[in-house]
Amino acid sequence: MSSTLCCSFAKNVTLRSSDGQTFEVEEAAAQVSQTIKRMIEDGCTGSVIPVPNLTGPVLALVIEYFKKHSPPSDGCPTALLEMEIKDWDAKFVAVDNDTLLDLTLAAHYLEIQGLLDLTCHRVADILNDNSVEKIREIFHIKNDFTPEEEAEERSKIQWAFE
Amino acid sequence: MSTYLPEEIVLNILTLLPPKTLLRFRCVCRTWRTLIGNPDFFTQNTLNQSILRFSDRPSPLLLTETNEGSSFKRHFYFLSDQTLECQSQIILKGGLFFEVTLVASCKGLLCLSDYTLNKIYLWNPATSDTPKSIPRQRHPPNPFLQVGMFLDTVGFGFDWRSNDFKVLKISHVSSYDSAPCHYNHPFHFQPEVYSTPCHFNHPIHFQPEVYSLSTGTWRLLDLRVPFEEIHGSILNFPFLNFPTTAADGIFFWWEVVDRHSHNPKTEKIVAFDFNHELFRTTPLPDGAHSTYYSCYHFTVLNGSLTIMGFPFEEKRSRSSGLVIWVLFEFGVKESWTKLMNLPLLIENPERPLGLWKNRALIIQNAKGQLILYNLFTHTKKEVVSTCRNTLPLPDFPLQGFPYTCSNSMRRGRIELECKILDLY
Repeated sequence: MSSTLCCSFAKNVTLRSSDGQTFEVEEAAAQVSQTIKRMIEDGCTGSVIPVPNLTGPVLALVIEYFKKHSPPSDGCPTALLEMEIKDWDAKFVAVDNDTLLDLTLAAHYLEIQGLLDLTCHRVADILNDNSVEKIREIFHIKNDFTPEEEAEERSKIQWAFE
Repeated sequence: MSTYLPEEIVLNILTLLPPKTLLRFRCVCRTWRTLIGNPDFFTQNTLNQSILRFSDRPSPLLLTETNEGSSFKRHFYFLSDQTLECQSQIILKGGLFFEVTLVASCKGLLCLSDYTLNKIYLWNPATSDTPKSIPRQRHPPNPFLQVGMFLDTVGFGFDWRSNDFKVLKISHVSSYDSAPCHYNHPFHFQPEVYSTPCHFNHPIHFQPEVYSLSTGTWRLLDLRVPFEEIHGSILNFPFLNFPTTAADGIFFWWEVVDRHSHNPKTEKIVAFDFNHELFRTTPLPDGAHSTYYSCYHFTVLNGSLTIMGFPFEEKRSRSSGLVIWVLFEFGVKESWTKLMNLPLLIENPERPLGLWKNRALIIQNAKGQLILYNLFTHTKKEVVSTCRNTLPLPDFPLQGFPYTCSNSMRRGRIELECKILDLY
């Protein structure tokens, strides 16, 4: 076995969440995140990499995503593998709304484009099926319209609410 | 942690939503209202981009007609959706009365209709050189009604429920047996006869029939066709000019009226749903009727019926702007939304032909050139196409249709003799 292959197996990094939990993950997998990739390139691998924006449970989920999406060791991904990953992705984001938003934010902070696309599409699907009131609840958005303003806004497009 | 999503992400998510949902979500909060934007002002905001986004990426199909001596030709230009390069140019040639028009393009299949010969053709230009005529309907219309002024109307679509292409034909039926003018054959028709008004004392009604490609048969539909009833002078009959469009198994007619004899405010959109085999209508909003434009393009964008028109300004012979009306909810007049009158910084725009890559309007100008006009940046460029040397002469208006095709359409220039003059 060549020494490089040996090294790539052995090379792990440790990530620490905002609440102090640590996770060990293969370096190649963690580099799915552009943010972490930059930190590794800047030489942070020796110590623990802090991920202050993510809580332990969210970071654990993100690491699952890393593992599934790390580049395959034997070259090109097959069509079958791609289909399997697609199925896995769909199940991965079939979570409660708060977790989904946490994952969206995590993808944004860690610059994981694939995960960001995945979560944004899932959020868009949820948005499409829900009322304005429900949207405010899901997104924790405060309604800053006065009742009169909101009534006026709605009256302009009454048809859209029927 | 999830109490706040950065604006950047919210915007990212909103761009994935259809226009109708976006309009509704303007009520969520002030930030969202700003992010979504105003439908009445044509800027590059989320809402307007959503309206202009194609759900799939059809390449526009353009066609024109060239008159060479006594023979009519129908040109079809298939342009690439990526480069607008002309990938195929197919010319159908016919005889003296070759009057084929394109009814609609649906999933790669074109439906052509020859109104003068009362024939309908289906054609997959990617695989076949010959449009194939479908059988005549079971109940041919009254011979008198075929003489050219009473043109039947044809619709075409794909029924998703039965996985079948269908053709709709609406014939004009009258109980009046002895016609006041004796034209048994369309070719005995003299041009001056057009100027002689013929009057009916009997009403004409519409008889819809539907043809299924999978069974190869016609079937009468027991439906009231919601077009205006035609009485009186046949010269007022405007059927030929109805603009049509089709998408997702629904065929739309814009029932334009003759401005001299009818109130334009009675104009409406008639739709036939091939999936459920029923008619529906929606009135046009005030100020959107056909007399308002010098030229318009009637189409479906991202699932919404859309009218793009150059408003006619009486003081000037040429119009100078673009109006876009979008119908978000079929059947609901209030859901017509007007995107602001956009000034077009272009000389002599003649007619809009369609949208390209969600932001550029393809316009034919008075010289016959094709201009690509970016609606957001107002930049323009001429479409230089490989078939440009044969591309249209100024006198022959182009019509634009969306065209989707599973095979790649790289056939170069083909000239086809269309032997369809089987006289009867």
